Amino acid sequence: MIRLAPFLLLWLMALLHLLLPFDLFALDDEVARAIMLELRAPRTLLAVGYGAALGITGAALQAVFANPLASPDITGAASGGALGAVATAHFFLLTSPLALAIGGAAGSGLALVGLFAIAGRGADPARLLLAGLSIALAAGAATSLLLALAPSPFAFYDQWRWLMGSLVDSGWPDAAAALVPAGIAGLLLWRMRRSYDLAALGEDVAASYGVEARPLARRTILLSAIAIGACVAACGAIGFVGLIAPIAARALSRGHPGRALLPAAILGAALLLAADLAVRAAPAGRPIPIGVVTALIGTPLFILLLMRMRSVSA
Amino acid sequence: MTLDARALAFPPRLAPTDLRVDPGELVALIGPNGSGKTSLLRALAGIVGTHAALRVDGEAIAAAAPARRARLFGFLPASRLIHWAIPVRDLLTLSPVAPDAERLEALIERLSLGDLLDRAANQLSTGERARVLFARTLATSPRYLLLDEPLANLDPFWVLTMRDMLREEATAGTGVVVALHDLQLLGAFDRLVLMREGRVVADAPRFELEHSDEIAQLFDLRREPDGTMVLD
Repeated sequence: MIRLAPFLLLWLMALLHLLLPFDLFALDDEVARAIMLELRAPRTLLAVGYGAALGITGAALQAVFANPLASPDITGAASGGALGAVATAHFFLLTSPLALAIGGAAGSGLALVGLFAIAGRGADPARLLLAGLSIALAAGAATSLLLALAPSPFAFYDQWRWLMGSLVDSGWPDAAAALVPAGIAGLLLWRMRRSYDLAALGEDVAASYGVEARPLARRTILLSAIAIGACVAACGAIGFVGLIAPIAARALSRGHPGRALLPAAILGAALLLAADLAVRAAPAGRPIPIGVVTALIGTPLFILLLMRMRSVSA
Repeated sequence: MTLDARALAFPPRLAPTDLRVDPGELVALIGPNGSGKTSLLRALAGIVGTHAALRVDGEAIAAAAPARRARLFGFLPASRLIHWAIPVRDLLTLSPVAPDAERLEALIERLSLGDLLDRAANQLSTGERARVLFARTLATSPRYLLLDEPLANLDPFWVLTMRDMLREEATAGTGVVVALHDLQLLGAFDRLVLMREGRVVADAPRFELEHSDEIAQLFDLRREPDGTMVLD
């Protein structure tokens, strides 16, 4: 039963996300259909896909770094993706969803490669996370700078869209550009779940079975960059989901980091759907960045988990 | 099923080394800190170094699939770190191959792991973790056990129990290679491999080396006429 719980939760959240608010049913059939197919469906699908991508990449990064705090946001991959997409638009004047997705993936990849360059091989977790934080801050600042220099009256709105994320006004082209690469990358990550479980035995024991730590980390970083970069390019950087979902998922997978990949994806999707529902509940004309909601949901959960970790290790 | 390593190297820690271990042999790697015991074990397990040179009964290890490697080698690192809160019950069977249920039951009994089965592996004491990981390594009955300091930091009861278990494994036909620090335990082994500065400096049956000056010199000690070793 507990294994099915995440699936049920996801299904319920997706249904609510698609149907709420119900005022749709008061409209003319044609209009209601158009809204459902052209506006709500891609947005629901994006929330599911982006949330799942955050969950699965978070779980995979945590597994290879052997650190429960590694995640797309904390390693700088999400901010790097936002910078990559904004830079693609700014310098190359390319704004098609596909171009932004490629730029985003390149940005995420550069951020993760930079992370390894700064933290060095075999860095301890604290060093790795500090390096990730510095990359995230630098990428965030550079994104703000590019947007500030952009000759657009909407730059301020754009800024929070990139830095805090938003699913508003996402259509099918955005959804496709984000979800096709993220889906493929996610699937390839999921196929490595057994290797992540064996990696829990330590680098040496895993290597004695032929599961080498470095290629595994390289593949994980590449695939995470593709998944996160493409999603960030469509909807901006959204924090906390990639951190919280895998931690909760491991409670469902008896602590196995690899087995946690699928539940992490499902919980991530459910969490992002819930956050986007809250965004929609805001008064019309006052859009709230979705990252604000995920941070509001995520921070208390995160503090709770930290306190539990402390009491367990004490 | 002979383990045959030719010119096995991991520069600069391990100079090219030839080593053969036969089934049923109980081999101790002896040497001071940094002499290359761990590097030799890791190279034998195909973790580091030129493992193209590593063969079991003519079969190259580098090309073997995870399940095959798990059947050939059981490697136990000196570090007994577990990163995740995996229950001991799950950890014992975490391997590319499933262990035999009866054998696992016997190991749990022998090492008194019954009360630990539902605890998270990363919250055990060092000694408990050592027993759990020892049992996990033996559980899948690998042909060769490559163990890095398996008896370090344990209560005397467990040192003697696990020493006896290693002997039983060897008697059953498993090749056992152990990096060893405690010279008191030399008596349990068939063959001693002495290492210094990344090289094998002596490799002979235990009775030839056990009371030799070579071991004393290896550790910069002097052997007294009564056999005890003292500072030179």
